[in-house]
Amino acid sequence: MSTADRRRLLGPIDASPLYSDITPKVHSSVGEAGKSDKEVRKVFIKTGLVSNASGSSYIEASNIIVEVSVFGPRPIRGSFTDRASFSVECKFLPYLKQPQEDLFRGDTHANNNGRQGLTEVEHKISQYVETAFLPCIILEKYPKSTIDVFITVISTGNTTAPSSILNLTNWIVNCSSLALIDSGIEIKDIVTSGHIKYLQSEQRLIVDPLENEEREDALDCLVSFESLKNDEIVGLWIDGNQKLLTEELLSKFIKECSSMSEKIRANFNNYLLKLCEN
Amino acid sequence: MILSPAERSYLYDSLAKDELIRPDARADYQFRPIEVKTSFLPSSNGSARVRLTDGSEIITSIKSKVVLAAEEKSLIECDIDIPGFRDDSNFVANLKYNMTSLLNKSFPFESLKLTSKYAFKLFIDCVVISYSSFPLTFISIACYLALKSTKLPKLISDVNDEETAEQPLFSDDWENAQYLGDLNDSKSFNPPLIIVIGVVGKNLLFDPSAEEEQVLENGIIISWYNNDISTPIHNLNFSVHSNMPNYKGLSQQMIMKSILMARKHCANIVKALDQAIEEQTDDGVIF
Repeated sequence: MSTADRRRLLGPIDASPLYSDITPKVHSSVGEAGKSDKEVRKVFIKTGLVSNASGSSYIEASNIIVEVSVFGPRPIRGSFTDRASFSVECKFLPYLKQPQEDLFRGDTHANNNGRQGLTEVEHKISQYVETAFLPCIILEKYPKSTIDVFITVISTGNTTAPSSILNLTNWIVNCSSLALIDSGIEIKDIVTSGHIKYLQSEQRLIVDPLENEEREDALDCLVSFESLKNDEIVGLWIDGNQKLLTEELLSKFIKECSSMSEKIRANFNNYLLKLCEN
Repeated sequence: MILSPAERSYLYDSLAKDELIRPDARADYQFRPIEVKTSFLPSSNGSARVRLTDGSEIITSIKSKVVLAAEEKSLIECDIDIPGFRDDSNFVANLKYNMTSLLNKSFPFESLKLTSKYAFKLFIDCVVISYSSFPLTFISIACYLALKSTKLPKLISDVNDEETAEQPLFSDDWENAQYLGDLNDSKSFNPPLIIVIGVVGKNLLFDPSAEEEQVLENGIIISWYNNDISTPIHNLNFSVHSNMPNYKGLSQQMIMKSILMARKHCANIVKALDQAIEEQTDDGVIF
């Protein structure tokens, strides 16, 4: 233990962060009493709440609450680059339980003297969002600069089920899209995404599932699209326990995700048009 | 090596042709040649080293511990270490996420069960000593080989310990140790693999090299387990420097095509790896 930091007052070695099961109260207008398998849940969206960011957006989708701020283009110091660098950082508020927390928030994070780096789950979401938005932002327009996206997950409904990460990421991507639009950074298209869950035993396909408890036969599929560019897929993530992934199933999944993404896109278009009118 | 714009355009054109030409004359489904060595770390239950001709080298070690199964969240823990990157950097954290979620979804955990209370827990440590292209495939290959060569001590105490407070007892003789694959007698033991596929134009490339990565339009990661496509499947920008000027979205056909291609060739990859384990010389020399 000679390498221990003796200059600061450290907590006990086995200290663990304080968590609670308190879920922030969600507006009754967006909470809903069940929806059919084919429906997309109702969401509350708002842009431009963070005044010192270039663009920001806020979304409430039943018990998922996410806030995204976009900073940039900001100049960088040092050598010239011909395109902007783009980075995404996703963070859960510290009291939240994270999806797959038992797997990825093990001993390595127990003694970190209060300040935590990102967990693997947060890194994974950051990477998905970065991958999905990289093709759509016109980085060539902003040489020698950086564009940073900061995602704050405010509520997840405190579920740790592995598949809830896909549903959460779905709403994060949609929310980030709005924040990028709000920032005025030049983009080729609005990225929207859809998430479906397929229960093999019942052959039941659920669009935008509200309940994400772990099931042995569930397969989750999250796909993000650029609908102006011929419905190109910019993000793909299939996860789950199902072993029989056939081509027909996959193309059905992508189709369902696409139609969900289109619905969200239409809503966003409406919202943005209304914003222009006011 | 970072390519110049002229080199990039030349490479892109040759990879995007109908009859693609790769710089090292590989077919689209071919991997680069790898050199394999297993069971060379004396203090590990299983170990493997994978080397490529470009100097990439990955060493994986597997150690086991007897645990109370009910107290463990998972019986496999995977850690990845890459010199020059912090453990909490995005690059390392994502590799670790991919490997951990792959192994936890696709692994015959029943073969780790010892008694009704106790089980083995496997600690997989992967050191990427050097790499040039996106290392995920080779990390998963090194894990595959190490798991295949993992030997666990033979249990000699009673399997049923529900009533007794007895701890498991193992045979003193290391010669009696069993391969992890033999513990689960019902079927053959094939750990999961991750295949990295690059997308250029209408073509797909297995195992893109560092140069090929720079002209890719997108990347797809597909998992393979028990002779079938498995999850997770996702797309990814392989370039660590996020300097892929060609990077763009995927069409649905390319995803279908990549699944078909993986289905067609992955069984042969697994076969080749199994053969590599059998064919290696058993002299204990690793250099």
